[in-house]
Amino acid sequence: MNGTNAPVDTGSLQGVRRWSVGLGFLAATTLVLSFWMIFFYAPTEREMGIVQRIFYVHVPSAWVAFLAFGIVALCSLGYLWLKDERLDAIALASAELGVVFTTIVLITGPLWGKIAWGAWWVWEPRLTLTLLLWFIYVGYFILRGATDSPERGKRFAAILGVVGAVDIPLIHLSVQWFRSQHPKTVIMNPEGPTAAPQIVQTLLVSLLAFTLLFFSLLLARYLVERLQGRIDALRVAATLRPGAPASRGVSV
Amino acid sequence: MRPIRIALLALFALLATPAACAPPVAAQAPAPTQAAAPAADGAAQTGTLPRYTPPRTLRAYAHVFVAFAVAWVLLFGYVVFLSRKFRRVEEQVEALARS
Repeated sequence: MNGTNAPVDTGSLQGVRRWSVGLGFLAATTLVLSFWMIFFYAPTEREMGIVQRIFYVHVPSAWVAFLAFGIVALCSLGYLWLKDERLDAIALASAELGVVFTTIVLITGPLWGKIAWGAWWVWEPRLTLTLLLWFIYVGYFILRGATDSPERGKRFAAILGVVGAVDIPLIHLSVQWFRSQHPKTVIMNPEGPTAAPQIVQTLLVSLLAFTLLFFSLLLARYLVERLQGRIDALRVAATLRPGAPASRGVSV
Repeated sequence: MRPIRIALLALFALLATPAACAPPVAAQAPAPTQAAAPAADGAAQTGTLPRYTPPRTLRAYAHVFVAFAVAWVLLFGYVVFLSRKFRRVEEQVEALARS
């Protein structure tokens, strides 16, 4: 797919591909380092024991999920305003990754909770709102495919993408606003981090690794979506003009 | 795509290994009963609820292992889904180039 002889113009997407691969390698390196830190560098927490190590997957996944849905909201807003297909492709890619990372949050949380609280699930504000967030963005995909017109589906999904993001600050602030069983923030405290320095360092490396992984996967998914869009546009053009040569690049 | 898949499999195996062979650091920590008993006595005297201390059992290790495994299976599954989608798109581009 070198973009020179291909009927689909892939030239402008070569940079995206390079960035995705580059970030992927960086993410893999940082992930190996974070795994070493999680199991060999960070001390075992005094009260919770080994189960606290779930925190190093749970918190970065939650951060990445919030980042992903934030990007969905911004790009959806941009799509509604500018009608730029690239923004819709980024929103779709980001929503997909957001759902994957929220699923990790929703699975690793109860695994920690069963040991730390003695219960798999507690209907407390943060957990409930996170589950709601997951349902909202699963609905985003259902809505995209639920209409006859793809354009209308994209528009409806974009509206849901913007509205659904309101849940993110609610999740973040719920531990302060309501009586919550969920642990409070240990890093972004006004008084400074309350955890041991090794725990904070390990968490920061994990956050970096997950963020790099997210951007690498986001670019890869965006690339696939854009190529698919161009192929579809080319097919539509070929259907509309059967006699026309199909060797022109279509810029969507 | 085959070398990429092999590299991803190797990376996944590398990342999943530490979860299985984590050093038993928690076993050296004081037993929860020793730590919890004075806290419970103190709580009974002050009238507050005793603080719940998670048990230090093998089950906690299993939970850590499952949490890490699930996270990596989901992420790896997504990468496989993405590579399949990418291959399909590549095939379509090649088909269009041929036609």
